[in-house]
Amino acid sequence: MPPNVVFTSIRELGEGVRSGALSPVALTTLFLERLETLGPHYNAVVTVTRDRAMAQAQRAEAEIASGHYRGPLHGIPYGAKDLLATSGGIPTSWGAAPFRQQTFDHDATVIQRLEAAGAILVGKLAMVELAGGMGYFQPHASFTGPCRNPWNPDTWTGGSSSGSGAAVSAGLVPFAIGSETFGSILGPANHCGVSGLRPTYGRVSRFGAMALCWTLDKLGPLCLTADDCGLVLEAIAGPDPADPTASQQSYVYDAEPVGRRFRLGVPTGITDDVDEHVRRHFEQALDTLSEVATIDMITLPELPYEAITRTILLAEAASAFEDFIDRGQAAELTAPEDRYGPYARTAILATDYIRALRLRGRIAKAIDALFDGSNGLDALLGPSRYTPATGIDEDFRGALHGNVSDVLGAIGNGVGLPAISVPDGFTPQGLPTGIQFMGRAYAENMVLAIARTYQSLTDWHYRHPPGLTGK
Amino acid sequence: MAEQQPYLPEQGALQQLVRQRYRQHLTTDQVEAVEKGVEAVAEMLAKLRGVPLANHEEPFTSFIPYRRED
Repeated sequence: MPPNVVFTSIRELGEGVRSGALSPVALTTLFLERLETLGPHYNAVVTVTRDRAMAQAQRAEAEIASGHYRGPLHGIPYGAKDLLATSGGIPTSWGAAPFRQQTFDHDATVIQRLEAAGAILVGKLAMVELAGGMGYFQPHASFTGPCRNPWNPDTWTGGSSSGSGAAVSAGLVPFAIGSETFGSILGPANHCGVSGLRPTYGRVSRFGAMALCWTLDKLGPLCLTADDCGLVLEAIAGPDPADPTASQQSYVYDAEPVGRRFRLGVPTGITDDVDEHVRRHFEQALDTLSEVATIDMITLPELPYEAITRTILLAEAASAFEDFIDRGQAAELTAPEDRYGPYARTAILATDYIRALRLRGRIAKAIDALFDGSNGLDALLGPSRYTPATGIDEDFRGALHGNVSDVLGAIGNGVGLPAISVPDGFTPQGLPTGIQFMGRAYAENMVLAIARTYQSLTDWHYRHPPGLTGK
Repeated sequence: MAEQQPYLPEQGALQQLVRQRYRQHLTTDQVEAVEKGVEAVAEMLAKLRGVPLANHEEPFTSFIPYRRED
């Protein structure tokens, strides 16, 4: 195995597998071992899927040896957020104690597509219970324990795709699948110093994924590089008759340079309330990007973005778990605040929910106008999160860290726009921060091109938590 | 300190609705927390209601009548 193989990109691993220099069985054995020995240090793993992984790895090795190469993910191990259904008796716990033994007789579409691509499922990864939809505000919100950040285990990974962020960051898997309803891919990507892509709503089928909010839920990859995110997205995206909300558009990842300067927009006031290191790193990132982009400050239309998106989220989450809540099963959840959190949202009236959906249309058209036309923007920029990773025992919002508004998150998730978070620096305490690039609907290739270009000009994504390299 | 005025005229009724529906699942402390939660929901909804809407502004969802594909 080449040195530092656990922090090698999918693209490089894939080239090694294709050429025969790397064995899928050896890679799988290595990552299984890391999941089993290192995963528990971070509370990152729910189930190591050893038997399935070894069978998939042996099949991959035999296929490649016989000349049947499926593509860049063939023989590459990955982890799946534990809200994705997996068959064969592998539990799908949704991060929640009441569901820890839950099993399904089918695989989620994403799992099926990754199997078809030849990828190897090595583990189901930890997550915040019920994807954070019950109102949690501190990290002890999963039956697997608070997910610890590989950069500093006394800090949190972010959530709700907490295990996905930790596992990629610590080199336990080359990539992971996470989900985002409002912040749950970009947050862990930020805190864990990895690249996390939230695709356009509907780009990836949600069949077999736990539903928190049908209107806002999206599945996407967390990887070491933006380029890797594109490779994974191509494998998992596309129409699916099992999910009527899945877009009929197919997706082909285009890794070619755009060939011109990018046009980027920064909303005014976007760094007003962020941590000082987050602000400094973001400003430095803008300086770097100015080599390849025209960057304008833009004023967003005045709308209650967060109220709109959160009303949709809370109302649908109340419905998605209505029977669970009505039976009083929230009392069995781990986070004390989750045991009462879901009740208040049942106060949202139908007319208010519909009002939010109507206002959502206004956001969609107003923001799309920023991207439209020959002088339209290629992306909106902002910090991925307003702080680096917070303490493992700290509230991450509320009294301690305040309730800083997340305008880009509210807009992007509210109207289903793609965004990627990539690392843009490290605090003096060694914690990563991230920058997000948010694009027009279905413009993942542009978003990825900007992120790839930024990563070609920086080396933040080559840094890894100390003490975790090795064979 | 002056008590926060209700964000919505029906805020108290909403709190009562939630209390009546779920009281059996909640401790006294949790009831209080839920009432604060309803207050936060009311604050959120007040912001939505502050934006006038025109009749032609439809909910931004699309429904396609279902027919099983042969």
